[in-house]
Amino acid sequence: MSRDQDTRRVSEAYRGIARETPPAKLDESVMAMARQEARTRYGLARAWIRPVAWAATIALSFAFILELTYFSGGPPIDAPHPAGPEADIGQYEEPAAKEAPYKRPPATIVATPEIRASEPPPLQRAEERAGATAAGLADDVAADEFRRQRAPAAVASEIGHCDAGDRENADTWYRCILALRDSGLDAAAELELDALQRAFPDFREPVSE
Amino acid sequence: MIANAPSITSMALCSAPALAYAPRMAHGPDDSALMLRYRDGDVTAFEALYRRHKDPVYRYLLRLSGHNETAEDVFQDVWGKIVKARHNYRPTAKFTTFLYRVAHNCFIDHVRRNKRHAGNTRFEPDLHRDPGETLETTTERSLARERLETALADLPDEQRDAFLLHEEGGLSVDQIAAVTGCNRETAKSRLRYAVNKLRAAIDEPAETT
Repeated sequence: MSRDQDTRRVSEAYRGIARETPPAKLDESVMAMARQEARTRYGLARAWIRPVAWAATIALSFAFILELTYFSGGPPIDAPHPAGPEADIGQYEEPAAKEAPYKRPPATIVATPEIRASEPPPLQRAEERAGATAAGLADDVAADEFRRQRAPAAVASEIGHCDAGDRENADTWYRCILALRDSGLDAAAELELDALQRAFPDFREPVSE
Repeated sequence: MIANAPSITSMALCSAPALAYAPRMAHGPDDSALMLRYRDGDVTAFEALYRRHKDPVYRYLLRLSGHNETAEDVFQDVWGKIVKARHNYRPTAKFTTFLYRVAHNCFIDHVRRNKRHAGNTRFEPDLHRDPGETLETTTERSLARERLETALADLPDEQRDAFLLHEEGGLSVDQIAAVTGCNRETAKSRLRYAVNKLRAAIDEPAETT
């Protein structure tokens, strides 16, 4: 008798006696388990996971693009606070600065006097800017205005030299040079001073007190 | 009495063989498709899948363990794992291979936890009489069952496992090797030894006459 026939005989004999079935209580138990699993929060949520994930991705992308479009290049939310007693905004005296144009003013206060005096707290500014987002380009205009209002000295200390606006007259140019010195950029300040003296031969640097 | 008993082969040929796996392969949705549908929340798909496989899996566990209670515990455990695995189910292999691998592993885990399966077979045989079956036929079937069950129970665990996977799961040698974690030749050898021993047990009464 071949091996295949042996296998078939044994198989047939086995199938002839193998008739057990699981008890009905097991069937009910398993089916109840299957139904319950299909009703679980994860089971129900599964159908929503993909669309919610897509919506979240799109929303985040849109928010990121908005952030890049409207807030890039804007002023820093928190300007560094000046150190020392003269840093107090209330102590700043604009007329005195006019009387002595070449007197070294407090560096950072001079940088943004009007802005800081009337400036709301950083959080409020952020909220205002967020509100301005709806206005679209209006926010850009405001940002440009802000940049224009910033004192040249502060800009100079950031960029390391005086720009064309500072060089319009000797007064603003020299204030820019003082700001560079205050920032520790002495070499740049000397270069600017040379350029100032070439551009304005009549200018004489005031003797510091 | 034993001498008058017909061979198991003739008895099995007279009765309608309870084909463990042939019907489910012949028609109906694919197992993997049903599992995927259940993964998406269709409980009726799981019900169809369960009805298709519950009897063979139960018999596999019953004869592997030799205890009704153990078989029921592990059976529930197996389907619980199938239910929970639906989220991560990928139809990379045949579903029956996946199912019987889970069943095999659950049984091994159960054996490691409780050592009670070791010992003689103690599950209650199916003694219900088919309609039209005479008392004599029932007795013959009972004796035939006893011989085959005894032979099955006497098989080494690995050989019995391989035989049951082949008969109940309809797994090929390669699939048996995959489920039991051995190589193909080992699985083939185990299956051959099991068939030879069972055939000898089947032929025993005929030889005694």
